[in-house]
Amino acid sequence: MSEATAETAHEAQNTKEESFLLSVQDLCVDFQLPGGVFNAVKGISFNLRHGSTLALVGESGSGKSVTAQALLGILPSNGFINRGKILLQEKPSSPAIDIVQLSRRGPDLRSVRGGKISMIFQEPMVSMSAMHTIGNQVSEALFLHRNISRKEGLRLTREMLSLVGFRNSEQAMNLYPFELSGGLRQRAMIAMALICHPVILIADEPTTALDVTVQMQILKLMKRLQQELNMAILLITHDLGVVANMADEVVVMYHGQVVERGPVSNIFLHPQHKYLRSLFTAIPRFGMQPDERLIPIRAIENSVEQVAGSFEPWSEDAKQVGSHLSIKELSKIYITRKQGWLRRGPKQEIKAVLDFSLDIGVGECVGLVGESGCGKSTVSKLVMQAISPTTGQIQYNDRGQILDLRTLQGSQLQQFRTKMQLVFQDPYSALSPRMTIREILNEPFCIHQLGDIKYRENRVKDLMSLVGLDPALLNRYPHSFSGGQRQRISIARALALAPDFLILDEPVSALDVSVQAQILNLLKDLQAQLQLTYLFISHNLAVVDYIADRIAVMCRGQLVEIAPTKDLFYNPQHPYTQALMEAVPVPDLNARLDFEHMVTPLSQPEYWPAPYTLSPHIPNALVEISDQHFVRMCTVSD
Amino acid sequence: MWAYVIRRLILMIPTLVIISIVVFTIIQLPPGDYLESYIAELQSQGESVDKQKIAFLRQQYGLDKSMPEQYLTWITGFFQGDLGYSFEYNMPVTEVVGDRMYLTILVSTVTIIFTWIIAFPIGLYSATHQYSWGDYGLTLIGFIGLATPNFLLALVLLYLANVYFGTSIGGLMDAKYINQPWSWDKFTSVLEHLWIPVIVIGTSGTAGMIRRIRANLLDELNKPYVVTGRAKGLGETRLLLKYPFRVSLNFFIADIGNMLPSIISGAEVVALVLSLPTTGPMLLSALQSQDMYLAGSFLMFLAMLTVIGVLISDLLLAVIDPRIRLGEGATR
Repeated sequence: MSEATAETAHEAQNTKEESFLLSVQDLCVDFQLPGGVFNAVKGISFNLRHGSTLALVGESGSGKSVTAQALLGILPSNGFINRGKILLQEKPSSPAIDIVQLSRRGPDLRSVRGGKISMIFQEPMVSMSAMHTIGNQVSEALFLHRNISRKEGLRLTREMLSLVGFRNSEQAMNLYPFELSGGLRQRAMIAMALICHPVILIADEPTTALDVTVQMQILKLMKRLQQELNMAILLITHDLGVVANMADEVVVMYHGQVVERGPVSNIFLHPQHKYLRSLFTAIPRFGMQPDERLIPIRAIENSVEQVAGSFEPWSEDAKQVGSHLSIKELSKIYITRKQGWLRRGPKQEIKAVLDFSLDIGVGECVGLVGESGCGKSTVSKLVMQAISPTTGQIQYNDRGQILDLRTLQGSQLQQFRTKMQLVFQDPYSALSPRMTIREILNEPFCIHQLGDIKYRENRVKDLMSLVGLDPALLNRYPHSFSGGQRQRISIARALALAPDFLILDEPVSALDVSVQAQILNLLKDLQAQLQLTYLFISHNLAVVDYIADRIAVMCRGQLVEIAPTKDLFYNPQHPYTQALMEAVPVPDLNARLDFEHMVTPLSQPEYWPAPYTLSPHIPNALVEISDQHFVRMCTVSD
Repeated sequence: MWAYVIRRLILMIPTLVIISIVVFTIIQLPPGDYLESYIAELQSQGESVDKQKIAFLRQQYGLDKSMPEQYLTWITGFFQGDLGYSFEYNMPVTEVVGDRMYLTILVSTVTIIFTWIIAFPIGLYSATHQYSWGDYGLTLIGFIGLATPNFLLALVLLYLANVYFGTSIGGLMDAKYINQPWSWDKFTSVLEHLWIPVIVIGTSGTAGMIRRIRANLLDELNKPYVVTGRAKGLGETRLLLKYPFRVSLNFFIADIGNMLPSIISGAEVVALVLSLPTTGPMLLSALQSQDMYLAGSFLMFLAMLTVIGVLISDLLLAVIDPRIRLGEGATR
């Protein structure tokens, strides 16, 4: 459909609705909960045009995923469409079907699902059956909706698998989802959704669970397939960076309502609604001014006074003794035997961490960046003494006294644990659902047998105000708090024993953008107010840019580049750092990803050019190329 | 594949040796032996005891030898197919067990099939209609089935069958066919009698199985991959059977290891109450009278079946679940 006809259709929306591919009108979705009826979606309307991409944006709980489920009639059993229409019209000449009127279990709706509208989900691992092969699951929809022979169906399946980027589609047919990497799984998921050439693809957070470089490949793939198959995409996401790169039109949802809609350029250049405007100020961007702060939608008021007394400032002498944490040539090598059930493979060395050296100064925040599986969490476990290293040294400056962490044992180790604490990624599983917040915050004092009941009670209340929560909520259980509030409780727990050093393992990656800004600001303030040292682990470069003084980039267990934050972002040297930075989708229409000329292969060491080539025969090391800026390269040129 | 099976088979040897020692020790634990209880019985009846005959018997059966020697005689014989000699029945153990074994296998197999036929559809229904009236009703019946002692049910059914059908349904066949060669009439008589023990032995198993199928299936029903299947346009029944049901079968197959020995032992008390000519009551009396070869060989046989059953269910699990076959843990 040409641009002109679409434009006319847009103008004559009320009289000529039928010229839209999909038209959602005044859709209301309710959920029957034990406490009563919950209105998840409150009368939203939008239109999707042939071959275009509409982004549905909002934070978790805004009703965007529920809307997608309603379109396919796959709402959970306690959810139902209260009123409204979902009109699907494949061709301008054909009559429109109202999906709402179709029986949920009837054949008419089933022919829409997978045949005309299909969907890809956020987590490809759990969204595919582990018991069935890729070929079986991908071809399934084909045999359901098209009347074709088995041979022909399998041929089309192989074709589709090659189309989404499987190099050996014949072999891929017989693989199981758990044998694939995250990116390939999502490609298989896309193949599964597109096998019947649907007119609409609903993509529910298709890249949220993936690394940035993989995300870029998947987005590129979706764009290419959209053109080849001429289909419309309904993209559900909370990432404005993805929106800027993919969408033609945007619908912003907030608490089940549409608060803003329009072409992508209007949304980014002239955001109108308060929520949308604050969303833009809440996202960390590259190149923010050093004193520039994120503005969360709801700021936290926290008070430090009560606890400040237990965090004593460091004396200059103590700082002179050495770095706060000094890691030298740390490595962790796992020896595994590939334990297939019926085959026993040879022994394999997995180098989780290799030749890792890093100094962290007192009061510094060092960001550790890398993609999933690069070993950054292993580093945090090694530093915490949760696992012991194969080789290497970890020295800790305990206010003037140097401790060798590898030799600590028994009561010494127990004593040391109060100095260094960890905040986990997922605030939902990091807090025991069976303990009240009071018990959770009390636990550190109980373990280390500090103070009496009265002292503990006061400290627990102080900790609540430290993270900006009302001490009156102490008797509640974690489930009655939101993700952001839980993460604040986790932070309070980590700070209970007045540690000097915090390891933050992806502390904001499970949170919504607006909440993320809150937590980042809180962490920043606490660091300044209490003189804390941070090791901040993240896969999100923009987040690290906002909070860290120095950044260390890690790939396959090794550090490849360390530099002060500004240097790294304005002058990245290592090809891997460059590939990472290039793949980050930025919420800026003028800085869209260059899908045509990307250097994605550089995210894999095999493609690194000299002098960055990794080879067991040529020694390589971190070389200081300018003040404080280290890059891993070969030390001998050949 | 074969290397794995062979490794597992070799591993079975030490397992069985340990089991045999344990079995032998347990049988010998009560003070005395069969001859002593035999003498005591004779004396209580006021009969004189021929000391020479006792000494002869003692030597004949090797009861005068040391424990390890007795164990060795028994276990070597066991693996050569000689299960020993039953003192109580005065004939070789193989002959004592003989006919009973076939009847036991018949009763147990029919019971297990009965259990599956009833439990699978009800379990599927209960899981897909969670908290409906049907689910509650079937759950209630299931709990009653679980809570009722089997022998009580046996007595009630015996009474009812006698009053309303006018037949005596104890045993597995009409009295006139006992010890007769197999014939068509004998076979139909067995079938006529079979349904009571099958229902009695099957109820609690069925009720338990319904609960397990329901619970396992409920865990799977809300998994994202089920939603994916629905979004593809699969019909509800096919969706249910292809995805969540397949996954929930794992527990069921893992259970086969336990099922195999219960085919030949199973339900001793019910068998006593219904006077079934199965192996259960025989094992009980052998243990009571310290008929050591009969009891020992039988227990050993059960242990072997358990070990083999576990191997079978492990192999079957690998066949149906690729995560086990291909080792999910290693690829993560």
